[in-house]
Amino acid sequence: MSNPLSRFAGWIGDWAGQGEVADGTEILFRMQVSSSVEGNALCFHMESWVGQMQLLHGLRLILAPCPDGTLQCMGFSTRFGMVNLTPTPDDEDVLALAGPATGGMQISFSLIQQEENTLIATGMARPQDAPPGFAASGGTHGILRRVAPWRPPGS
Amino acid sequence: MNNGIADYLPWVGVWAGVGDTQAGQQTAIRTDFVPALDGTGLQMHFEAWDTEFKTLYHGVRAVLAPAPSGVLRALAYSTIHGPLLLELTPDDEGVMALAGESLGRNHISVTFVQDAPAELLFMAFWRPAGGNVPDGDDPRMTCRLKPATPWNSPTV
Amino acid sequence: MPTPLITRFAEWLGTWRGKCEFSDGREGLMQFRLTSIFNGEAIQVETASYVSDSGAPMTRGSGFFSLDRQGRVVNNIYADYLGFAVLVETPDDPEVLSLEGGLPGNRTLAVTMSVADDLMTLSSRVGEGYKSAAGRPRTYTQMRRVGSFPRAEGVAE
Repeated sequence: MSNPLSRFAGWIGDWAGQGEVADGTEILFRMQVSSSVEGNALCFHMESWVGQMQLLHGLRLILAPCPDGTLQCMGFSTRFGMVNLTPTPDDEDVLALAGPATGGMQISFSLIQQEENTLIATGMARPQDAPPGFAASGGTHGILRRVAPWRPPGS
Repeated sequence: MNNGIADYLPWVGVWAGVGDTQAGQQTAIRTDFVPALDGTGLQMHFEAWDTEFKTLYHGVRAVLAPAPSGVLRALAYSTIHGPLLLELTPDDEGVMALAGESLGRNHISVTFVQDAPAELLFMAFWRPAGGNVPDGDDPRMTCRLKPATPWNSPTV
Repeated sequence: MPTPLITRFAEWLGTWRGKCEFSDGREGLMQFRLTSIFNGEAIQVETASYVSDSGAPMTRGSGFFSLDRQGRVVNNIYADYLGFAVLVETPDDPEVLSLEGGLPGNRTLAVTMSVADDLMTLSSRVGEGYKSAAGRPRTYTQMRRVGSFPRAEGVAE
């Protein structure tokens, strides 16, 4: 694992939880964080589901170091198309990303480690040509917990 | 009829739905079929959750592949039953019927039936070895699975 | 129903492996793996190259294919030796996928790919300025499909 990624290495694994989108619709949220590109990158695979397990949004991101050592992120969103995100400076336990999507939206996404096994995920999208001061009307918010499978009593 | 890996390639992708567990609870199911072993096998990843994604009731990862004899078997790991070796039972086209015993001597049965072009009926049950063979009314996990097509096409 | 992306690239899905000549004169083994994700909305491309004798890694990369509103392929890529880039399809023969895009440092990456008879051919060039220089050394590989994975015309795809 390359150094710039090491602070997120503890997130590798499966995460799941609930959240809601801007209009208040409740979502189920599932995320897999895995080592990728032969240990040179992290892959964030995210799915949000509504109702009878209808896939609302799928997002797969690759976070990796550029040759100059700085981190960059690219990926694909089923709603916004290709995304190219840049980490914004933040605390050690925060991954904050922002950048454009090919669909014309400006995306921001963050994961905040609240406790050892809890992550807060937030996402926001606004038009790239939005005027200064434009306030996005809402976004996606979810609380993810590290997946621990149920075990039969006594096992 | 003898089923081969190629028979199940149309299922490659993610399927999801809401059904019932063997114990009668509602469950949100997500399953993923992926080509494996350079196309000679099929990997299956199965997750059954409570409907709030708080508890993973059951997770199974399996690889279905031909034995040298040509028989298809699934090597699997279950979060409930541990390591499994399941055998594909010959069945009609559009049916994947797997059965076997866990190390704990539980009998496991898993069946996917393609009910419609975009629908898989999933059924599974387990019982202690030597237990009664369930008839149609005995409890089992069931779920109708649909392809997890994203709600909206990309706006690119 | 397969998505338009999968309809076009179904024959490309799977694992490919073959010898590679790099633009800097080195030789190695290249592997590409193309996988449908989100039930055909995009294709993930994972690449790795190795020293033939020792198996030591040479290059690694990852990327996504998707279609834009005009039906052109957009290819987001990351390669450990190049960094990040967004490549967009440029006009070419129907069976050829040609992509071009900018790299950091005022460089351009141009990639041409095709699949015929279970043989994937890929050639790429890094140029300076806004146009890729045709005379520059190129990385070239021909990769055979690994395994005999038949085309999946999946309902889930």
